[in-house]
Amino acid sequence: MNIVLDNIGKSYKAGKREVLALSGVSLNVGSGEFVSIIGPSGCGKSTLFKIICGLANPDRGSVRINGSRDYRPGDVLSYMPQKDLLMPWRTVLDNVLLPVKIRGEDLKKGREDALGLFPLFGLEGFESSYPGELSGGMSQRAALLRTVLAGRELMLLDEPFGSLDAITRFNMQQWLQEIWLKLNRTVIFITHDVDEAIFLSDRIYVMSPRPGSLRDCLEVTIPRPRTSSAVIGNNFVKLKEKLIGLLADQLPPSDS
Amino acid sequence: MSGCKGALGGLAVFIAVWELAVLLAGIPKYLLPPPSDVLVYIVRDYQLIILHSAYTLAAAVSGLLLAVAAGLLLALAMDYWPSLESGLYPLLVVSQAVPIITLAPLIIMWLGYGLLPKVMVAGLICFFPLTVSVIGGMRASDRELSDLMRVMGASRWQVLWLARLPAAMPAFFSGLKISAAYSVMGAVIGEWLGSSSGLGVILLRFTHSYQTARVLAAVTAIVVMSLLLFGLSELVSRRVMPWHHRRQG
Repeated sequence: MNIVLDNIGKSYKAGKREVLALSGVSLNVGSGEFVSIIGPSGCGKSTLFKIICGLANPDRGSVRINGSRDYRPGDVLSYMPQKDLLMPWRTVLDNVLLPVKIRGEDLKKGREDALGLFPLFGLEGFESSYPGELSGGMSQRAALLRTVLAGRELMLLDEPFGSLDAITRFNMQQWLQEIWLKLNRTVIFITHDVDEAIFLSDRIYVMSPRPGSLRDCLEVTIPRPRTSSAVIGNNFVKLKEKLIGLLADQLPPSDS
Repeated sequence: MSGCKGALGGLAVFIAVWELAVLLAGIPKYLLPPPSDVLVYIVRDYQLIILHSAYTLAAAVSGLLLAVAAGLLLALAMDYWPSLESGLYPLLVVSQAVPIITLAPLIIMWLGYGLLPKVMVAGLICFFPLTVSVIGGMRASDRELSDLMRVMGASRWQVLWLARLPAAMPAFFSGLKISAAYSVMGAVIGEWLGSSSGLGVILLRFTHSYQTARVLAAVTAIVVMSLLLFGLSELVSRRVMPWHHRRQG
């Protein structure tokens, strides 16, 4: 499994103006890696995901997954947008089985797989609840379970914890690391949270504001599994300083 | 349910004031009979009322079901083929400038004096609010959810069936509740214009003979029927959308 973005460019029309959203974005992610893209809001991170997912076409450049430009997104990746997008009319179990249902795969086997993962996702006992009855953290975990159950090796996670409070978010980060270590998937993770990026990633790309491009890249070598004490370790603090510096450089002076 | 108690109280006060007013002001009974008279006729005529109510109910419910089927099918088709929507939707809205009541005589002319024209009038009256509410509900469904499903490999039909239609259900049921009450009105209008049975017929007959208390007895039957259909729609909506009511509950 590998994914290569080569010199992606994308612009869109806002009224009469032509806005350059992405310019020269190149990225290379290998099997089993956890890679984050960090950047301020509105720098085109989500647009980049839409391009990888086939929801938008790049104006320039190409996306190759396992060497192929003509991949079917549904066959190689699963995508988790910022909103949980759970269907209020389906139970939690039926929601997480949506990808199985859409592909017409074996629902019985899917249900067994799903039920086996409910405890790991902290959703045990909520199989037949409706999403309206879940807390914010549980909704995000359900959305992530849906993404995992899609069974694709590459997972694109777009700020999955952006809407959660700080305490819940930190618990979810630890939990996500645990899941990732167990399930052995490749993850590209969008965030604007510096701590989150360092805690979770093998590698962090820093995206500049419009037009978005990935200019800097940081390797995170803190050994796994990282614990809550890792965030006050020397390594962590140094990386954080560097990352904050890189992000500050990219803000235009008028914004700071 | 506390609102229900209040409404019943209000109704009781209204009836009491009416009864007293008629009594004290000495209004002739053929103009405005007291509620007690109406009650007497409801009890006395109950067989007649039930017989004709059954006919009206049959027309109203058939019309409503027809409108539900047609409305859902048209809304699905318009959502699936956008060109159909852009061609038909404006016509659908403009068609509401034509009051169905004015078309009713034509419908009677075309379809005769049986049950069918009443069903059609009731159906036509229900059709618009139902169709428009379903279309509105579908349009309001989350665009990002459709995108997510496409990434999962869903066909357009699957997006429509699994996401857009269920998302429109709350809107559909609001439309259904309004239409349920309209359907009785539609059936009665159909009966006014020519029929041998139905509440509309006895309503006219009693009016022509100045039997006002009996007119009001028939009106009461119509009100009860509309309320029943409204309540039934609410019940169905709770059965079909437990998620919607549980969240609000």
